[in-house]
Amino acid sequence: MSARPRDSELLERVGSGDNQALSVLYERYAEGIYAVAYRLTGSEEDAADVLQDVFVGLPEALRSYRGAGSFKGWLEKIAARASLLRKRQQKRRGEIYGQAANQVTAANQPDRVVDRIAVQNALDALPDEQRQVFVLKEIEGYSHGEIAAMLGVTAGYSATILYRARHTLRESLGDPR
Amino acid sequence: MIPFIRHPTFEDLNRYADGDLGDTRRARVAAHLADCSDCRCTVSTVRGLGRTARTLPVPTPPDDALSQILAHRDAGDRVLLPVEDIGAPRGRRPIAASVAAAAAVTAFFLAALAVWAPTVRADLSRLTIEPERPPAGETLELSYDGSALFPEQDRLVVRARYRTADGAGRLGSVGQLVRDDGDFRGRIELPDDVVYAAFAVEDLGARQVDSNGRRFWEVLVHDDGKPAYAALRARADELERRDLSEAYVTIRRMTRLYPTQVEGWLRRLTLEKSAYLGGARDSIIDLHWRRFQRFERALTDGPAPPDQIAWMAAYAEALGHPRAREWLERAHARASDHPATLRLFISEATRSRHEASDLLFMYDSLWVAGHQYAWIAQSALTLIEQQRPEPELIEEWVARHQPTSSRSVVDEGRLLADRPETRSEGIRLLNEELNRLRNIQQGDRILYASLAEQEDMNRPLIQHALLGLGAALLEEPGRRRDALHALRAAVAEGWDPAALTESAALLLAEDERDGAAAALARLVVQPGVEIERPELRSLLAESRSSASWHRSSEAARQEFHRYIMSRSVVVAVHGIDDIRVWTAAGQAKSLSSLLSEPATAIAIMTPLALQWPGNLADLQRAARALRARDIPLLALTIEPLSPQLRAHVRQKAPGVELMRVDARMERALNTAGTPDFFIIDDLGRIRFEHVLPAELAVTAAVLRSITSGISVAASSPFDTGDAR
Repeated sequence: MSARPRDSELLERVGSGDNQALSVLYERYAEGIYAVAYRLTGSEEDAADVLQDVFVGLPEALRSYRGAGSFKGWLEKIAARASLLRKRQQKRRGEIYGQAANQVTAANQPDRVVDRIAVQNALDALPDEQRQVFVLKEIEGYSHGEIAAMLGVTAGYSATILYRARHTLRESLGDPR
Repeated sequence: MIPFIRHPTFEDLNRYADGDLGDTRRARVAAHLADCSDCRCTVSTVRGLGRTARTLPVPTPPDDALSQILAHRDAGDRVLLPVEDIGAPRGRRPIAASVAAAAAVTAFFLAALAVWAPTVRADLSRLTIEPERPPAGETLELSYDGSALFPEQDRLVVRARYRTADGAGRLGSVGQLVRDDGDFRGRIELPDDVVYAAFAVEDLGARQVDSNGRRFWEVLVHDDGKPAYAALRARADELERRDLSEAYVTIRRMTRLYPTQVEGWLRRLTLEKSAYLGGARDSIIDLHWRRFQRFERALTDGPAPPDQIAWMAAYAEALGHPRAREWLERAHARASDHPATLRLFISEATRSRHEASDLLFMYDSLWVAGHQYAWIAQSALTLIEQQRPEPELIEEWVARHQPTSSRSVVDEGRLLADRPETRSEGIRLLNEELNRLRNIQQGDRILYASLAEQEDMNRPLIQHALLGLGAALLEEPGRRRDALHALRAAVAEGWDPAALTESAALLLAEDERDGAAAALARLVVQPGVEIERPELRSLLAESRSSASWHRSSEAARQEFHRYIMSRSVVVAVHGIDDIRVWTAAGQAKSLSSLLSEPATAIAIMTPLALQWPGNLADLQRAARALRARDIPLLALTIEPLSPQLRAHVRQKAPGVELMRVDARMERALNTAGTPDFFIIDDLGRIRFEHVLPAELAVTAAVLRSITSGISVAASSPFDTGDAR
């Protein structure tokens, strides 16, 4: 059985243009990258594009990786930035998005699943900025300081947007207060 | 411990749930929670939202994602990733981004279909209007000092665009100026219903127009010593089409002078939301949030005017406010006829994915009810084009309403000509519009355009009309000759790749191979355009081996380069207060109209940057991404390039066209002030470089310092101003 190569070995090989090493990194981290991109963009198509961009650009981007913190965290943050950038460009171009295509219905689902379906739909319906901050804070676990740096806003503003997102979600889910 | 007399704020409960409260406050909230089930429920819900969200399923990546990635790497594609945050505190702001982002950033320099015209320099003329701040219906005394521009004329024409309080506008000649001891003088009666006027001066033959550098000379009707609200709104409407930064200045004035008008704040929010990025945005949005809440308090305390209710609904929607739905319901109930309510109503219907026929019926009902707004007509046309509702509804719509522009008429004509039952009506409409576009009447000419300029601006529409006519006539018995004539004329008329492709295909289908080849020649010279239809590709391969192909494609290339360079624009962005767009002629243009027009993206490259393989691959990929949006990519160089370097670029990035900055572009860059240049440096980082003072010569010096040591040919075909 061959030893599982460490990330540091793989990164060195990827930086030299080794596609096999890149493939191994892909197998390790693609699902996480895709999940981040999907949650932030709300679109499978956009998430696939971000995933592709991240791995196509990775060998050159590694020049900027200093080794501080985990490689997974560094990579997922890049994916988050790329997703936010994509949404910003789309908005700047005036592209109009309908609701996320995967609106689900609650018919014949157990209550817990209904809750999740309702939350998913409510999350999909959030304005972009609220969804992004909510996803980055509540799901991806970034601090308001980190979110602020990614979005180019203050930490206080990030917190305010999070509260608004929660408010909007509660109202969507039928809690009036 | 002082308990909360009322409940803690939602914000405090959030912060409590997040563990972000200081000790004292946390204790107070905790004490309150002990006795308040409602607030406990809130905290529980807030925490539960995050927990549930973390368990939501996520789809898996596509199966072929890895193979696609490896294929891109093998093809030499590269992507610049955002490895740093926006909030990076360095003096320069590197924007390393994906190529799609690079393409968008590149698109900061856009070439649009603007018009080259003899530049009439504004500082050589002045139109003085007395009184400067007239009331409605006043007589204006005009004095024009423009002798340097019109040395031979004794009489000049004043044209104006008038705007009224209800948002309507009209355009035309409003008077004459007569030379009187050097200056020109005249008098104009301002109509009672006009709140805003923009004036331009021209000679009797409309060969030369002085539009004050497209800023015109303006008059706003005043009331009580300040500009009337309707006048400011009219000015904002006017400027949003051509000078966004000035429009913003006007809208800020609206909110300052009339702070209780919700509409002004909504318009301000709309501009500020899209323009502000970074740290200033949070305070901007917070300002509007607080303003909205103040309006809510003021407008809920008593009966509110329907107008304000409608604008509040729109304001709430734009803010993403939790009470947007409530306000929309109030607007339906109290202000259902208001344009703002109608827009929200239609947006909601569109979002709810109503059937196309239902939506068209809705537009038609609104039109019949007297809400004949241009945006309704345009939305309906877009709907018809994209979703093809029932034919009877299309016909009713077309029969009932007046097209709002030449573009609408041409689009409608083509839609009708596309269907056998309405083909003759479509052909009639297209013929009429072609005649009108070719024989420009006074009233059909936009305010700053001379007759020649208007003719030039009409060409893309003429191309489309000819194409539509040609296609329709091919279906009519005995009209083949007329059809071919129209299609050949369409090819010669313009550069739109879609129109050229369709013309080529139609001509080829009629065995008119020469005509189709001429269209192909005009396609292949455009950067980023690829011939995809198999039959056209075969024709292209066949044509390229012919002796005449080289001559015709070279002629097309030179013509195209002249066409593009005469239309290049520079976008100078200094912040929300100062966004200026200039054509190569140094004329201002509206950013919003620019972004909706066909465009060419321009990247300014140093020779060093062009030599780095990664950059060329990035540019090539950007060219492909932009082509998907019908935007070709040009790389502009300030420095001359050696033939070897140029050949290298052609080999590595065939989708990118290289052009040298010419004297006109250089003047435009100087006029524009401090432009944002898109430069890829030798490490492959994309940088925005603000160069002060605002002189291209300084920028060139900076670029030379980057490229020192690179030997370039002393001269090249580029330097002679040739197209190649």
